[in-house]
Amino acid sequence: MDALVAAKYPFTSFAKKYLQAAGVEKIDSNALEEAKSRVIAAVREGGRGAGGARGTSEATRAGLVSYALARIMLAYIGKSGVSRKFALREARAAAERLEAEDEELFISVARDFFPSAAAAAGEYSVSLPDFLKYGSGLIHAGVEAGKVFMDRGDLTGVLREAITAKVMDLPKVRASEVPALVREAAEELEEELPKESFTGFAGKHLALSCVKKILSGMEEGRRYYGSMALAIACIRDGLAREEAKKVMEQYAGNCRRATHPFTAREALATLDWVYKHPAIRFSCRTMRENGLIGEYCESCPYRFKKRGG
Amino acid sequence: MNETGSGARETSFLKKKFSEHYSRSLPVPPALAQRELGFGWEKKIDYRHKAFASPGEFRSFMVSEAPLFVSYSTAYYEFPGARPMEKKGYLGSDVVFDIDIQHTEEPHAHNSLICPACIERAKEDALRLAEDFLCSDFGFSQKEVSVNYSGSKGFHLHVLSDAVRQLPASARAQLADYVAAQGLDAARLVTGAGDKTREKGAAREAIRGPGSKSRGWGKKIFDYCAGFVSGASLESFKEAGLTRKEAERIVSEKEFVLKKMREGNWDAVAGLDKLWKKAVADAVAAEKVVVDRSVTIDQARLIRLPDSIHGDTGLVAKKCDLKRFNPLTDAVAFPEGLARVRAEEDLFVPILGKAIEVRANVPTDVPLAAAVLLLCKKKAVLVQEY
Ligand SMILES: [Zn+2]
Repeated sequence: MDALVAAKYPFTSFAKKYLQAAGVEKIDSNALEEAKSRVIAAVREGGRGAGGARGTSEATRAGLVSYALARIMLAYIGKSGVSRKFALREARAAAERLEAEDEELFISVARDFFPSAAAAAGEYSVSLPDFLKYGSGLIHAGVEAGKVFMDRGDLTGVLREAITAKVMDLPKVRASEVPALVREAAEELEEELPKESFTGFAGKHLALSCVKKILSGMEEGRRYYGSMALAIACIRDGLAREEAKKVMEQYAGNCRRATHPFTAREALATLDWVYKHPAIRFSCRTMRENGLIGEYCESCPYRFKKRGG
Repeated sequence: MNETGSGARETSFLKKKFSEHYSRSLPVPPALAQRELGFGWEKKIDYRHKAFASPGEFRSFMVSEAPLFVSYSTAYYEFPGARPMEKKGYLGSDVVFDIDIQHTEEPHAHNSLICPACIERAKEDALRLAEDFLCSDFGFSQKEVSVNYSGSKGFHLHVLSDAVRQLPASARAQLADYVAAQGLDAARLVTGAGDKTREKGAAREAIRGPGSKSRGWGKKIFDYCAGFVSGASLESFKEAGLTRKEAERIVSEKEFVLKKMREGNWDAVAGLDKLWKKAVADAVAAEKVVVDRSVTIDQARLIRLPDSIHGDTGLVAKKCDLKRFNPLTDAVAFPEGLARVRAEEDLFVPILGKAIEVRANVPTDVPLAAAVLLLCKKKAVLVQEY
């Protein structure tokens, strides 16, 4: 795998191997600047943006280093809202690049996430357990004999979810282990980030009366869906995972009094899933379908939105 | 103590019988040492967090304590007896589907004691779940799917495969939703078939649907709708809202219509558009399997131990081959013997291929299986054991 490919898909196992083999040379200020601007661009675009070629050196070897540095800085800063936007942007950019790749490279990136990925007769498939690791929307998918069949566009969509999850899964770093140069750059980055990225959503979803009701505990049969709604509220409100963990533990405690217990482990597993799928939307309709709320609340800003954000 | 409620005498009789049964036939769950067990004498689960290191230890407990209800964790734990839950060391869990039809809507003479018609309906659903979903769609082998009667109204299907043990709740929810068609948006599979009011003269959007090569729910909907067109008469098309002229044309061009449908064109002949809204809804209603989603999603759940006796019926939650299984004969724990019981109302117990009748306030000798069922249900008192 050459440097260019590794840099285009820096989240793959082959990029990691490439970087390990090449060795990380001295971290220079250019690489750190590059990493910072990568994060800032993501935040400016609000995790959305137009995507497309970046016109920067992202798809070069330096880009690979800046990706790795950006994730270390994000882990150090610990703001999930920022990490979320970064992951969404990286995944979107990668998905756009993948569209233009030849079959061989496309499938090798796909296999990095879904070892069972295969192409035949113009369509693609992954095994059901592989699909379930990252994919959503099984109900509308081409499921047959333990495989999920897709066209290239759909597989790219699932890959995008998988890539987002992988990028979001930041390395565990101890502040003391982060090189001073990187630490300083991270602190600068934090300063430079638009403040609203931290506070813009804070509390908005968790303050909704329906979400508060869920937090007070759900009955058996609704507890999983409740944990899902709550975890989505946390991520949309920009809570760091550690803060969100406290919310989920409180919820699990409130749910506990039933024949079958609902454990903090289950609630945290849902939280993990949601934090790896940051594109997920807060949806009153889904909450209603799953019996979490009866009616749409009169004063709710998300009322009548099919998939309010 | 109510005259016909099971009192101390009845409970000790049931415990004795259950103990005898377990000394003859002991259900041991796969990976016993990693399972949490729960037991009930009064309720379904009086206490839980129980663990057994060996089948021998489990056997002696079952024979000496003779619980009326036995359930085990679908999860595997490092320390299944530890509490609270967080200390158990979760290792993964089987995926379980629970079909529990309370009362089938089809008209029938429902028997509130135990209803063969309702069980039969649940059995049909279980068979469809096993064949159409777990095997055909999800690709599990027959060996990986263990089916057992619940011992009461329904069936449990356990997927015992390494491939599913680590699935998070979100993935399990997707499997449950797929089976139950929860969240299925048929308009995504059959496009342009909505009942939107169209402006006069505006071109209608062509109706595209799944074809013969479709998979998943698309295939199920295609098979059902193509089957409907193929089997429908002139009258049934008219009943579906088509004009006589439209219906006649579809009937005369049926092969053409079906050929086009196989290609994904559901709009080959005028009038077809009037069919789809109802036909697609009927397809989903007919093909989905109603399951208790929380059983599939929850990972800390206890579920009836296969091959244990259900304390509400005295029937065994027997592992079974659905194609040749009749719970009211094959799941009877006590096929031999008699007991004399007395009930306060006229009762009818369809069991062991017989129709057992008990008249109100008349002490009656009945097969032991019927007596156990009535005592479990607290519908009779024990007059005499033999
Ligand atoms: Zn019935």
